[in-house]
Amino acid sequence: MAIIELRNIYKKYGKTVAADIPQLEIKDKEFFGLLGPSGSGKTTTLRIIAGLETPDRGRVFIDGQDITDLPPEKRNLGMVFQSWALFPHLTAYENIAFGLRLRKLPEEEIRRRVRWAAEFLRIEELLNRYPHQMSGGQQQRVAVARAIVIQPRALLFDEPLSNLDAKLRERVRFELRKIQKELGITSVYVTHDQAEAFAICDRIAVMNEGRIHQIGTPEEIYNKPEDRFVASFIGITYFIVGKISEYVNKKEGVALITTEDGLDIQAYADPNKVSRGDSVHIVIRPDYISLAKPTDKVNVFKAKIERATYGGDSIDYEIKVGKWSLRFRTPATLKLPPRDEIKIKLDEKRLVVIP
Amino acid sequence: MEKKKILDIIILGFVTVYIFLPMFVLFEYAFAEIWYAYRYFPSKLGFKWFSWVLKHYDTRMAFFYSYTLAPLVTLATLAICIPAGYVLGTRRTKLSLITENLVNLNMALPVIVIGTGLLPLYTYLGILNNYWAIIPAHMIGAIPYTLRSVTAAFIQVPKDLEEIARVLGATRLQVIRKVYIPLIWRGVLAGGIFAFSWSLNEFILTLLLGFPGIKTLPVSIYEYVGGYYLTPQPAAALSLLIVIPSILMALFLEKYMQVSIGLGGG
Repeated sequence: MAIIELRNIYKKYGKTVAADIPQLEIKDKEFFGLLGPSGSGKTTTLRIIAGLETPDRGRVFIDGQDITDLPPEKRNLGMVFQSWALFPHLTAYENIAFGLRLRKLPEEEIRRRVRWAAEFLRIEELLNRYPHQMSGGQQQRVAVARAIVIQPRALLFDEPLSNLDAKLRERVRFELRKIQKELGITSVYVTHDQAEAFAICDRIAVMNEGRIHQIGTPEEIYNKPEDRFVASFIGITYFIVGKISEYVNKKEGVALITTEDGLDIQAYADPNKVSRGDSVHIVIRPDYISLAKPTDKVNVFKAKIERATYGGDSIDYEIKVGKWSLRFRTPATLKLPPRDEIKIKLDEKRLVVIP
Repeated sequence: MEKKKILDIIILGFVTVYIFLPMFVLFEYAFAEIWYAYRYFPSKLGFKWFSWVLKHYDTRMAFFYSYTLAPLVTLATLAICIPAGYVLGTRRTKLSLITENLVNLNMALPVIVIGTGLLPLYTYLGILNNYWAIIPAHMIGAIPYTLRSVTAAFIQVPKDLEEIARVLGATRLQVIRKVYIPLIWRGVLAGGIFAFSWSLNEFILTLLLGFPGIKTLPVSIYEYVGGYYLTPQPAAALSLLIVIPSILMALFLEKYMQVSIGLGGG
């Protein structure tokens, strides 16, 4: 059981605001992601939870207990760094046992727990090796074992996969998630890689310049971005700018947006946030666009293919709709000639407007 | 054999011979019991001069001074350099870099310059010819070398290690014991050896500030060579007695503790 709460957290480095978080609650057993570009304050936030950084203002709670003034060693948290930070003078066994020895557990108990963690991460045969005798992936496993073996209240990950090669990184994502779910430990995961955050996390906070822009499940973050930063940071994003000319269905928030060059586009516009006459951005991603079928009536537009890029399993097209540049993909088997005029359909169920 | 290889051998051979020529002559003098004039080599070798030197009260005192001052200088230098090296090694701020440069600059200063500055100061303080006052004088020369070595050791310990140790449950003190000491002791030991050799080798300041009461081995050798006696044999024997412990210590450390240093000092 561990609920992590941040209240009114504020931290400044010189003139830069590193973290400004009025309220954040991470639920019990949740795998929570802090996602943002470098300098967005995600690592600072994690380090404030760990106790490695002291906030200028605000409090940190775990299960209602105020831990803001506790030094890191009294918080009982597990942590995995980007560099893994294995002690170079200790074997894998002693690295994993490090936290247990500090807790003054009997030798028998230490051996039992190290065995358990090593089995869990399948690194039994590495226990006698020193860090420099291990590969990156192996070091990463030892670092995770060292973090979970102390039975922490929560696990903190600071970009633990950035130093792995792409192939391995993808495999380890699923493993980390499996480990977290099996152990049921509340975890916070810092990354700048959205694919990683999406694959691993139950919920994600998208951060920029110290502030949280949006909190939600990966689906919510992708399909219902709340502002332009989130929309453009996540995925490949193009915007079409227009004015809301009317609500087609106010109850469901379906609006008609008219652009300067006369396109009429139907999209979802939250009536609580925008209203008729407002200038808005429509978020358009490649997967919201398809070739129009003859039966399609709504959101069908003429488009011109500007460029096609072969991508193995798909072809990536740059197209022009009116004066707007967009991108979309087709399977590689379907080859559209360049400079061709085509008809595309924008999926009105997925188009979202933001102010 | 290739021409290039022969050239290599000639160059490297020359450097080695050049460096060791004085040592060779030193050995000759130290072990020569009978050596006729105009001969390149002594006719009889033995330990006569060693026992002669060791019998003298003056040289015994010189041993005492040298080998008690050196450890004291080493301890005092490390006591300053470990905390200073920690700051310089873990916080690479502008202040650190400036400090480092100033301290390093000291290495370029001829010791006689420092001595000329210290002499009036010691006179004013009335601590000339004082055993304890030699310690800080030796430290001035030793600190830059020791500090370099200790700082380098601290730089090599990533900050992450300290942080992960804290998160895993280590107090600040436990971090020093379980993370820093195991990772820096080699650098500290090497730094300590620098200080030790510096103190053993120090001549100018000791002569300026300690004479005539405090005569360490180098000062004592100087007396044999340039002072009253002009006797090279005891001087040579005494010289070897300084060098041998240093060489043994260095070999031991290199071999068994993988502490890489030259013979250190001067």
